[in-house]
Amino acid sequence: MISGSWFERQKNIIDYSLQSLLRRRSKNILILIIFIVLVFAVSSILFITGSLTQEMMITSNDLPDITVQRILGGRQVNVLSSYLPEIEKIPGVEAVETRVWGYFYLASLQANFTIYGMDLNLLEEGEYRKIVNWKNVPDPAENQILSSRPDFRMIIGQGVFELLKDIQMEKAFLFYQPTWQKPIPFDIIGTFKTETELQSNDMMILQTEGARRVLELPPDEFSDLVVHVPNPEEIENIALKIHRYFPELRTITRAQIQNTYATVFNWKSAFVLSSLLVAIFAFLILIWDKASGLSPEEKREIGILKAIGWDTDVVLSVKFWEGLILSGISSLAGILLAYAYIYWLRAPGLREIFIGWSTIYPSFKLMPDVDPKFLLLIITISVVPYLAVTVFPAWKAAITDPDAIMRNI
Amino acid sequence: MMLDPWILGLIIGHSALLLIFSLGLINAWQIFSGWDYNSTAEKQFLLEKKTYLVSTVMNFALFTQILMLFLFGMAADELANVLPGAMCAVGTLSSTSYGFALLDLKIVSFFAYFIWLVVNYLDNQIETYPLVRKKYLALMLLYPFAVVETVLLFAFAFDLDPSVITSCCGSVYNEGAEGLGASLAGASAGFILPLFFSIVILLLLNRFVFNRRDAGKKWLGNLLEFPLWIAFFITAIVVIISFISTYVYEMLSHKCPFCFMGAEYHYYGVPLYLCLFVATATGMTGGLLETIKRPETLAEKARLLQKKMNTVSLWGMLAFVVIGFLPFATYYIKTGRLI
Repeated sequence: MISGSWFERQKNIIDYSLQSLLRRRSKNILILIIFIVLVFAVSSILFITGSLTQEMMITSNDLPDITVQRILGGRQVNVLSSYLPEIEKIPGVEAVETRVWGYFYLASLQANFTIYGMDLNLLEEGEYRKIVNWKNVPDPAENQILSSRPDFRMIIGQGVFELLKDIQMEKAFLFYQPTWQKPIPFDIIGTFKTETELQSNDMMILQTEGARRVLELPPDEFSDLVVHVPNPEEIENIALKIHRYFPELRTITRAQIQNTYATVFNWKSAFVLSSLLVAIFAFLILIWDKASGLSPEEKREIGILKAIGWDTDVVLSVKFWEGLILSGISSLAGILLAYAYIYWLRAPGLREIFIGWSTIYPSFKLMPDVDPKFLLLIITISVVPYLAVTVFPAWKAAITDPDAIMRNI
Repeated sequence: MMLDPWILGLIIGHSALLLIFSLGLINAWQIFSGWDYNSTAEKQFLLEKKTYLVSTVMNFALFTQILMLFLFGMAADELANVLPGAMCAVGTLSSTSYGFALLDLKIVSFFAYFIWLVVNYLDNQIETYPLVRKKYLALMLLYPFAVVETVLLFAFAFDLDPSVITSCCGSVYNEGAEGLGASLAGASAGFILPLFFSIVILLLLNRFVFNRRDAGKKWLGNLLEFPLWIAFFITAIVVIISFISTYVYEMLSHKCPFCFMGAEYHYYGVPLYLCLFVATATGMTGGLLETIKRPETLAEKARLLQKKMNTVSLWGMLAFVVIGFLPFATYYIKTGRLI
């Protein structure tokens, strides 16, 4: 019988458990490796979801309060300018902004670009100046050419730039559709910096008038409207109001977009996790098998321990500590590995599942953001089932009768 | 909404809990129906070994249950990001009719598991296991709780719909609204604070005055602790919602018992609830231990443990009061007025 205070007792038991784990190194190392891989997989998925959601929440704060689209025949169509004054009249609305945007598919590269029309002069002056790498800052001679066609300038995302470089169009790009008489040339005056890559990677920001030409948008129409509401409490109500006045208009609030993104990220992560369930299950069966099949030496060891006066309780504690040490080490190692994989190696393989669907994959940096909540979730998914599976075999081993063993020696 | 990592985690945890508890139930039934301490048959020998299995199982169940209580709170908080209109755990819980039912059941079963384990611990110290049949009957009665909990969890998960707008804590705990949350929040400080403190004082009086004076009535005083601690827990929750929360948020309209568990409020709620749960669990159990009278050896051990429990519960209660009224005190000192 181990004597001493409770802590001393536990200390001795832990000591014995460690020794016992080390003695059966080859058997335990296999379990350890599989366990680490499992925790690693689970935590990678949770980490990447966490930091993507975090990044989405931060960046989406810049999204418009309410986006207004016109729906005709169940499809989104251009918004007519006649709606503008009506919406501006609603109390609580600060301003209504019009937007011009669309997509341009470049068949030769099989790439889809997002085209967005805005006044680039604003970009050159305002706070957005910082997020652009200005290029082709022209010498006076060239400047003349540029200023002569101010409607045909654009700023592009880093991903678009890489693609265009391959076809030697990184300075100026020719938009062309077969139905057009002639191509429309655009000067590229800058690229967006890498920090904004998640949003800007496949973007082409065109001067509004030029964008209208490329998107073939009639002068009195817009792609959609953006409504600014200074008081966040009013957003939901105003969105409902707009929809009530003009049933053909669809309103999308920022909260709705954030919720949708969060749902999508969670759905993806849970989908990958549930496909991992099979692996977890297989691991549990392996554990069960390993834990129930006691080798003759182990049996003898427990028999001797009980013969020299160890209680069933104490043997159970030894088994419990063995499980806890094993799962503790593997959880720690798995979580650290996952951290390195996600934030240093930037999650190769996993990243593609979670972001991007076009041919250009944003290669942005994931922000380290590990909420302690996730650690609890990881423990629930990996350690709890492990301990659950080991309860019965541990008891089975602990009740081994000393005399039965001794007789066989 | 099954496909969410938090829901998945809860389901895995609960499945493990239910599986292990089922194992415990089968063995508990065998022990309950076949126990005969005086028998020397091999069956009795095996049953005695099985008591170790059931103890281990229940230890695991309690540990998992505590973990699940925490995880459920966090999951509810986390899911609020996904549900439109929800701003914290309250929105998630009230978005389906099962949310609060599940939370309440989890709290009740936490206390039940705790009491069972204490009794089990006591009983295991006596060689003859005098309480064995009662103990295992109680365990079998606990099993339905675990089943209902798991069923409720699945119902909750299926019922969560990210496309339905839910209410946030601002509207649930709003005096003008209807429902239980509103009446909890509406309970005026003038009514609930005297009630809460009279329970606290009653507990202290019971502990230090009545018990000292009349040794013959001591058992009654100890027994009284059980209902008193339940009343303490319930009024404490009402005080948190209607009084403490307003001083934590320093806003009259914000009365939420969940928001202050987050990082924005420096995890203020974590020690607060920890003290409340520890105090109530030990206090209740201390009172309940009074019912253990026979055999003499067990009663002796029970008295010893009761003393320890009483001390822990007292300190827990004091810590709860200090932590709970700290925001009020700092507010009052800083501004010199009430909210």
